[in-house]
Amino acid sequence: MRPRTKFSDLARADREPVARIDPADLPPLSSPGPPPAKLAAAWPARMDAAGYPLDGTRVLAFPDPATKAERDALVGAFLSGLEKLFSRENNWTFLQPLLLSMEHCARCQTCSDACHVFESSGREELYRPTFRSEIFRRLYFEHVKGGGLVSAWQHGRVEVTWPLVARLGELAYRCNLCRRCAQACPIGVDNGLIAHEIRKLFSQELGIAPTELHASGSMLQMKVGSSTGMNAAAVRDNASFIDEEMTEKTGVAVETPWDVEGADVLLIHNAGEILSWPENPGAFAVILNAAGISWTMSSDIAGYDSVNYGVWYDDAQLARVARMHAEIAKALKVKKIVVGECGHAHKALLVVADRLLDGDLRIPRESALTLLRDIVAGGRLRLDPSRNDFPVTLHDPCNVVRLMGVVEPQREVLRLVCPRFREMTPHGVDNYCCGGGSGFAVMGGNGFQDWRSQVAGRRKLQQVLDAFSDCLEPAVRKYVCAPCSNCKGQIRDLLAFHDVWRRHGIMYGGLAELVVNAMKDVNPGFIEWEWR
Amino acid sequence: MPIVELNGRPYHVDDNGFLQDPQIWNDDVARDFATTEGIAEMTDEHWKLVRYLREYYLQFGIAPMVRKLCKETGLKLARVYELFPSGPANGACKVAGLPKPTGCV
Amino acid sequence: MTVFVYAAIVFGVLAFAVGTAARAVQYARQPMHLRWELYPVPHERADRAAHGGSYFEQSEWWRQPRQRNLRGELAAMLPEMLLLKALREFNRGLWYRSFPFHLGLYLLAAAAVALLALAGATLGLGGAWPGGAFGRGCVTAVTAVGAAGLALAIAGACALLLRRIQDPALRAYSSPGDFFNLGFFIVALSALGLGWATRQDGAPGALAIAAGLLRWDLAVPIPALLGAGIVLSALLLAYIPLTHMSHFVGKYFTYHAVRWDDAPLGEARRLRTALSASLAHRPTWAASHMRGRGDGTWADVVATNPSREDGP
Ligand code: SF4
Ligand code: SF4
Repeated sequence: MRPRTKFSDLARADREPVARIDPADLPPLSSPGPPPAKLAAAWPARMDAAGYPLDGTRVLAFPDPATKAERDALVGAFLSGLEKLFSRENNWTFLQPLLLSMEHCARCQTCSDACHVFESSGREELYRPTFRSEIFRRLYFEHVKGGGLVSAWQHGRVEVTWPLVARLGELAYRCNLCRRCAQACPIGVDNGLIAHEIRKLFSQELGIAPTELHASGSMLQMKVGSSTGMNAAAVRDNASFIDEEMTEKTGVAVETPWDVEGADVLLIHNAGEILSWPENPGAFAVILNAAGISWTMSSDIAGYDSVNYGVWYDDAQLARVARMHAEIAKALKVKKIVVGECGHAHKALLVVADRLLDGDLRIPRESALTLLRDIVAGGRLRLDPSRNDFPVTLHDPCNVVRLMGVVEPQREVLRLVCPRFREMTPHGVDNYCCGGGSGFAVMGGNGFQDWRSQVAGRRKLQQVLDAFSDCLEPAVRKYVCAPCSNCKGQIRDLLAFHDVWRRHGIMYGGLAELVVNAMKDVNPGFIEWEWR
Repeated sequence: MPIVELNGRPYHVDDNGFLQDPQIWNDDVARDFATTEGIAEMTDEHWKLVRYLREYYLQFGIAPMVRKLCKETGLKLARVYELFPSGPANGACKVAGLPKPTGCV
Repeated sequence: MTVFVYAAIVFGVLAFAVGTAARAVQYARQPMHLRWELYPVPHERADRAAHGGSYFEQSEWWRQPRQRNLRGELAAMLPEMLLLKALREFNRGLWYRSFPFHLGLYLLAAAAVALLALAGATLGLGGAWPGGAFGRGCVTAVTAVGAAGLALAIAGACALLLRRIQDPALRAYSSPGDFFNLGFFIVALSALGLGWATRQDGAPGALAIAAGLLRWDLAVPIPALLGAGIVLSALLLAYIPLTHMSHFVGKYFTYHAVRWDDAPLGEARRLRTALSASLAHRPTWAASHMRGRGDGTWADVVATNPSREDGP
């Protein structure tokens, strides 16, 4: 038994990780066959000496202040950001939910058992949903509400030092913001929201955020048009390559319409699909053309990348990108925006930013999943479900399901095109996060990719194995349908890390691919069973 | 910013071990980074991939689609993984001195 | 002595009411927030609410009339309020302790209200509560409810306190105040119960004291222990809104104003007005990308592209 991590451990001034996760402590996976060698070896041997390490991996780069004055200045900046989080002028966007989550926790720990990160870490205290919340709450009562002896007696207190502040910032990136814990809380306290607000404090006040999300994420997107770095020329070049490929493969001429004014639908994909899973945008092109939909893609800046990383860490970036998406739709005079298979883009543009877009920016916005459902269930394609004669299970992206309530459309499609569809347990709004949520899937340095494969994604992997427990032999090809780019990225890394394709024949992909694979009018074999 | 020493030469790299400044890349740099990927010797096939990546990067500022890479070089994806065990994005791009691919890829 | 007891009751009830209302007003006055709902949302149309779906499941949802299913909302609220359904579902062990405690408090509150009603009726009837079967039945019922409430609340509070001390996970997150709060319940309610049970024959009971309170009759001889119990309980009542134990207020808002708040901006003038008011605020966030290039309002910040010098 490792010792229970304490709040005060975060304030430790030595350069040792506060918690060491030993793979031997993680809950065993019910997967027959020998575990791959790297399961135990690769991680967490890579310890990082820089800064004040938390748990052997890290996603934030902090300044390393040498003098007391520098440290005090940083702590001061943190405290001023803390105050801003609780002011109307600075944080009207989330003030009400944040206050509610600050002041009513009964510390009953009901939420703990709902959290896959906590559970999959072998219940490491550091990852308990309330651990970071409780530290943050104590800081709030002391530094925002005035503190004092009575307050300390009632709420407890922690000493605020730079190591504590730095580790708290890092710890905000050990939560997937999946909000499964909030669903379990009898009072409605939202530990995911608290992690989200801590991230905002660091980004908006101290300018500290993971490079993948900020500098080469939302900033890059607003600079060249996409967080992948693709400019308009690159995306057009890639898309025409995809059109050629799709035409060759399906035997149907595929052409993606670009910048068509007055089209009914502006389709915005996560640009990562174009680079890493081109068969998904390709499948959409095939389906929309076959169904006779008037649609277009946009080569305007940010018009071909639906991502909005700001929803994970920064309100200004969130609002800016949402606004850009709406502006583009307005300029193209489309009837509606349809967001492709990308969960956080769904939540950002349809839900969270709903209260940011008014006037002529209020363009109707819709999920690609409902559009696919309408096309498939409306009988607008000639389908032969027997082409999908392999076991399929569905991963529910938290952003689309628990946080947005789009639960059934994707299932209706699967029931129509996949005769061997089976559910995971639990599923729907009670699903578990894939472990890649809140940006983790695009973050990887310093052993973080291993951490999310070992800890954050562990519960999901177990669910996948359980869903296919009747047919785990590699000869039977199986498909995890994950209608979300981030989830796909995480599931790819998860399956690769645990060598699941070779050992169990489990592949992953999106929803549109399954539809095209069942279309009578295209050549069979759209889905390629080759690991990628 | 971490510094690694490869074959006696120091390089600034990012958190993922990618070359910090893609400008300074040359064949020696490629050979040096190949050692971090467990590649003992750069064969013609290695070079073919690396040169294609390099050219594409200089034209578009990013790495090409994996599919395109396979098609243009005539190498199957499985072969790419044999050549660069950590894959086209993490292995081949690193040796070719590209920055680590960003975004949801 | 008697005057202290009366004063404590009045103070306790008023402080509770004012404190609770102040909290509610504080939360209600917060600005409109961005949407952050959590499904299932029970006021969705019943067929969708059943699987936790939202109106986004419809094609072209903005063209469909939005129906609020109030019955569904009530059906979700009542078991939550009365039976602590979420706790029962997700933390059964704690529910066995917490539910009796809360049920006890509900019963006590019901008994107190009923007692005041009886006392009021007593006054209306000229000072004496009728003896007959009905009259005695009412008193017995109220007494039974109150006694059961007391017993459950005390037992629940003891069980909760014990668990908080014994369970290392709970203990690590508890402040001295948390132990004190439960202890306060146990002491105050025990004093109340003991004082009532051990009062001598002929000493005034609950009804007599309640009637005395309404008449402000200082001649009612309240036994010392019972009086102490009443005073402590009244202070406890006044103390609750000052702590997280006012979570019943918070819970109303976490559910109605956050988890279930799925109203699209387009429908409500109230929300549109709130948005323009909020966009006029001037944030002072210090990170360089947070600045606008114009007047510094949120509207300006949002319209600024920090990655490009040449504007949006
Ligand atoms: S967040 Fe909710 S479930 Fe978790 S400890 Fe607090 S009150 Fe209990
Ligand atoms: S939001 Fe998800 S990952 Fe974060 S603490 Fe809650 S359950 Fe765990």
